Amino acid sequence: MVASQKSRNWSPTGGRRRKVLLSSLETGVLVIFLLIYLFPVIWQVLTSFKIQSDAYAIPPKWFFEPTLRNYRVVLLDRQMGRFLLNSVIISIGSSVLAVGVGSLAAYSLGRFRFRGSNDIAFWILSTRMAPAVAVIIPIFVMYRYHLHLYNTYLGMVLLYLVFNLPFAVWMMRGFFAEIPLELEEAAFVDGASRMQALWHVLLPLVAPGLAAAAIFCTIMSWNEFLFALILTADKTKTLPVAATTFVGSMGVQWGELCAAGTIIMIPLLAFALLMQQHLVRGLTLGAVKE
Amino acid sequence: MNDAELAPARISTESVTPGQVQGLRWLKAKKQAVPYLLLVPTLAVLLALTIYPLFYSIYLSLHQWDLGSPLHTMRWVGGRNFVRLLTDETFRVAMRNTFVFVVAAVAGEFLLGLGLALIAVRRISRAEGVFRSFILLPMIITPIVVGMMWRLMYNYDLGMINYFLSLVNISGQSWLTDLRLVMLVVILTDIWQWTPFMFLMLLAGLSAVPTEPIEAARVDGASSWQTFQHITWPLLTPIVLVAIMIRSIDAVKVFDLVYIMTFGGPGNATETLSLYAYRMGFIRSDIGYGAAIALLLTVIVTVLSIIAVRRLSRVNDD
Repeated sequence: MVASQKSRNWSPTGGRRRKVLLSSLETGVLVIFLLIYLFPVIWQVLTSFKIQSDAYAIPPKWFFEPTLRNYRVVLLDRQMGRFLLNSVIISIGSSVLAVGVGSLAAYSLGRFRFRGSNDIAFWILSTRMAPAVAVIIPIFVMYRYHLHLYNTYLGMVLLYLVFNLPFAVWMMRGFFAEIPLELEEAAFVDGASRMQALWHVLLPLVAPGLAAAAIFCTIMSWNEFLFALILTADKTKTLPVAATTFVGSMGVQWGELCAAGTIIMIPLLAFALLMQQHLVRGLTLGAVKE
Repeated sequence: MNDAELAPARISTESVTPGQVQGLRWLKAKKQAVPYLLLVPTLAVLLALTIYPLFYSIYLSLHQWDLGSPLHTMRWVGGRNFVRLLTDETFRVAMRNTFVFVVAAVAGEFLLGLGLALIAVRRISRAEGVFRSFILLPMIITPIVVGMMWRLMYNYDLGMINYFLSLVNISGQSWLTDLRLVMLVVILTDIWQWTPFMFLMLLAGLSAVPTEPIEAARVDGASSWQTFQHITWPLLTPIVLVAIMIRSIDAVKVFDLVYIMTFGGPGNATETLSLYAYRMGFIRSDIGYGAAIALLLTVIVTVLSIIAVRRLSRVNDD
């Protein structure tokens, strides 16, 4: 039996384990720990609301009059609004495409037993190991000179499949595999074709898995930097690339930089709060049976 | 893993004509092809976007071409780019920096993550929802943004690190411009970002350790350390290996952090392989050389991955 199922009197180190319910003291310690660990994040958000003189104040100011000036400058003057839109289009576009195309492969690998299925699955996952810089150099030449996909939404959406597709397939494969055979067989007995069984029986059941994979892909695309740095320009520039433009040769505009950073962070924060269960499962790669 | 048998074709039990036999064979072949057919779109995309570029990359590394010039000025140089790597001092520095970075960062993440997991597992069998959301943040925040926020923290004049040090009467350091400190800064930032990953993995691993052997050991009089050493740690080894391998392979490819915090500087103090390949290919416009460096990086990552898979399958077989 596993520790989480039985009485939790012993911790894995052999020490006595107290009751699972957190006392208020322990909650307090946890909160303080989080505040300390996440201090850089908090500081960045704080600084984003400071006026120039407060942002550059030495010693740093804890209490100040907040302003939205930085956000106004960043979103309007610096066109972050446009780049935000670009990031949204490219991230969601590539994510949807990856889940759409990948779900077929995941269905195949997860529910059929055929020669080489494990090898193929492993090969698909291994393509994710390729360093971005190794892929980008030839793709840059291809995009710029042969395919004319440089600085296009389509180009970026397709390119992001490089890491989104293997990840989506690998993640969704597990979800497809989990569904008991009996459900599909019951559908066949009732006279359904394979496609009907897939659509009406499997899809509703794997939908959470598909959603989780889509969210993961969106996050990875949102955060991607190198590909966007090289293959986007004015029209399609994404947020991470745009953020670096605040680091100019004339020094860094910290207030605006922090506002830009906070804008980039907000959707991720929302994802973390809403999807933490899925995120932890995906991030720990299901390596441990929970 | 559940295996789905192919759905049986519906045939009548009456006598079957030769034409029907042919039809049946065709039907069976079609049914058997289904799993392979479903894979075609994915495989096609990956072939086009990963395999083909890798081969094209090899082709590019055997040529010399200046990024600004038209395509037809590309000329064959054979192995010259690779020979150049052998005597390239900066390349050697980049190799060393990358190695130091990977070892230090992963070790730091592992030790810190393990310590935190050991503390946490005594109180919570696995991290609770809200806590998990927050501890996830460093991992999912855009690496570029992480680099920027820590760049502010380590700033000599405005940074909070120096401020907090001054509160305990330690003089502020020029973290990002001191040759001896700058690599440490980048490593610490990576540790901050990825310790939560190690923490969650190890917490999950520790939570899965069964209690009977531990109780038995305690009853037999073993100390906490002995219990950990002989019972917990062997059970934890697979998770540890997976986590370390994943992190190591990603750490070798580090780019975003270094790009935004130091851009390899000061001098070459934080030049890593990915950054060097990028600089040579896109800043110096020497695409062939950049491709060569990137290829070497790919080889390193591939070797590490193969070692990882071998180790893992051996451990899982035990």
